[in-house]
Amino acid sequence: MSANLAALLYLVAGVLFILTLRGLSNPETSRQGNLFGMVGMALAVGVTLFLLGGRGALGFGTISLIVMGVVIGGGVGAVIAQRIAMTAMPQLVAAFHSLVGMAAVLVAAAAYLAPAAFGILGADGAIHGLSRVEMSLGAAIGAITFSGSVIAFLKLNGNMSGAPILLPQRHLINLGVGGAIILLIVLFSIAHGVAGGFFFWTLVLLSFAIGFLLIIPIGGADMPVVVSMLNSYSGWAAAALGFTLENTALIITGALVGSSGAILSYIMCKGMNRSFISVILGGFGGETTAAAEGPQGTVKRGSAEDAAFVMKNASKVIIVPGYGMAVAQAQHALKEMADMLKREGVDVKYAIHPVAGRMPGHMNVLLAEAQVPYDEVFELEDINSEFSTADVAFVIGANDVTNPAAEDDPSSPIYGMPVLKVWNSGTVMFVKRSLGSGYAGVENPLFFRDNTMMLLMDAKKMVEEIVKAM
Amino acid sequence: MEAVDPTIFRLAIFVLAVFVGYYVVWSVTPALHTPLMSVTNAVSSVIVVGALLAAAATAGPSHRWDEANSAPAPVADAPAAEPDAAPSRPFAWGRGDDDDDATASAPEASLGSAPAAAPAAASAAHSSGGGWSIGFARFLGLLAVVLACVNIFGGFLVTQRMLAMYKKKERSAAK
Repeated sequence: MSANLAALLYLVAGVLFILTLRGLSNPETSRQGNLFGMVGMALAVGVTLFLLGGRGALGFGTISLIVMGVVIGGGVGAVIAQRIAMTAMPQLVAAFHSLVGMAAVLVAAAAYLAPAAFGILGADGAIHGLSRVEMSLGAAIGAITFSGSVIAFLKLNGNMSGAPILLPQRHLINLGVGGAIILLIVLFSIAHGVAGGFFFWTLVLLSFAIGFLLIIPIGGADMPVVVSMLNSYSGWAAAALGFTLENTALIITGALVGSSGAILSYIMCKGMNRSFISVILGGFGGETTAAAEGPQGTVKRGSAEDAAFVMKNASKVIIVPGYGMAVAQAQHALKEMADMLKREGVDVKYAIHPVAGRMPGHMNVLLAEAQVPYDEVFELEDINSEFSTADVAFVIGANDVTNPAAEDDPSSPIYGMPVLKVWNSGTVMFVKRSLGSGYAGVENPLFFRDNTMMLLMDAKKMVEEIVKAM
Repeated sequence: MEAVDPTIFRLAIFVLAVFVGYYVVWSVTPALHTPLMSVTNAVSSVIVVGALLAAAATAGPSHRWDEANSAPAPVADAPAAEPDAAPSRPFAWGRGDDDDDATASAPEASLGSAPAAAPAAASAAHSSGGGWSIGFARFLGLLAVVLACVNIFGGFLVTQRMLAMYKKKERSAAK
């Protein structure tokens, strides 16, 4: 296969990846988009194998090892994909990011060790200076993605406390390590001989370290941003290596993924009214602001029977799911409850806050899993005006995203965050395990209002009892 | 007019693709943001092409030698600096570009024994570089193939699984 044909086919693969993302603009076209992605991937892999075969680089031993690698990796991936619970998607995505990051580091290291195979040797037998910059960028970003994603995975999976771990002088340490990495990249690009190797491996090690240092101070509440940010990093790492490999498919993909992750981070930050910088600097979401005062008062507790009675006689109910629903696996019971309400002639809708759950769009997937039609599910800005026409707002496992303090209390840490105005509806029902504050450690004054009914129990059990009571 | 470095064209592709990505991703419906993350994860594993190149690395020279942007290295330093094509040729697993028929000659030696042969090769080869680094590169490449494949299969399949769940309101379900 000629190099020109190969380059064209890589371009086709890149275009197929663009169409993959394009397909996601609508659930109807998304499945086709995913198919495009698979075709693009198969094309890129096929072209590469053809090129290697044509170069005589594919001996029997090599090809059987590659096939073995594909079978092992693919098998593991396929099994995970079939078995993973939808509630565990954030962890899974974090784990996948770490793999992309590690693969980028490995490819960059291999390119450094065997530059001839990547065609980046100059006539003088040394690697091009520009290629050195590209590969060290790829390795550095890949390493940051890897160690950062491992920490994110551990925090999301509960192996590690979601509370931020704050080292003394962490900003200084991070700045120092970051500066050292940049310096090493510059030194590596102009160095040769043994010194070059020293620079390269040191900058890889430092990058692993800084990925770790960057993520440990970030609290659990900011994890949606972190996961999106690491998504972006994995893209930039791939793009940097795309330059090293002179591969259009990789450059296009890296750019797409990089900007996709960046946009998702932006949306998540906006959803929490936090600046990207303050998320990166970390420390939020774990401090015990211990909302000492705040509007204390009497709380009206309700039973499942009360809730069932009120909702059955309502004409419109808006359900606000949050992470608590995911933890309790209550989405199926919730769907059952909604179906019963619909049979009673109640108009049922779902309202989703952008940062509900632990990753962008997490609630939507969980509702889809419970076979809630996606045209009953609305985003914040589309449904916020409808709460005033609703008789009941049924908040299940969410808290901070409904806190009116975000609108009227400038001293609140979440002031300015866009929230679902559930308090405009006739009755607000909160399904919660306890009266504790939410993830951001902020008291919700809504609990003490007259038209609020607290349903304190495990979300799944409560919903099941409401269904029984109907 | 002097020739433009191909890297500039790649940079152009990159910059334009960032813009394409920007507009395409903003058009993604928020309901599909989780599948978006898992599918971008899967497609970024196209890095597997680099892993394949590494896994099939040979010590021979590649097709492209004469780029304008070579490192500003004094020629005298070069042989010691980077793996040099010629000295590594004699090793069985360090085949050149042109011997296509080697496929059958030493199949299991082609990679399986590479790590084992590394110490001997290292002493025989130049101070830094030479054959052992190719063997190590192939090992890293293979590892990267495995990791990327977990991602490719896992990413696309889990995306497919999620997307299959998104359904419109069915008339029959309302009963």
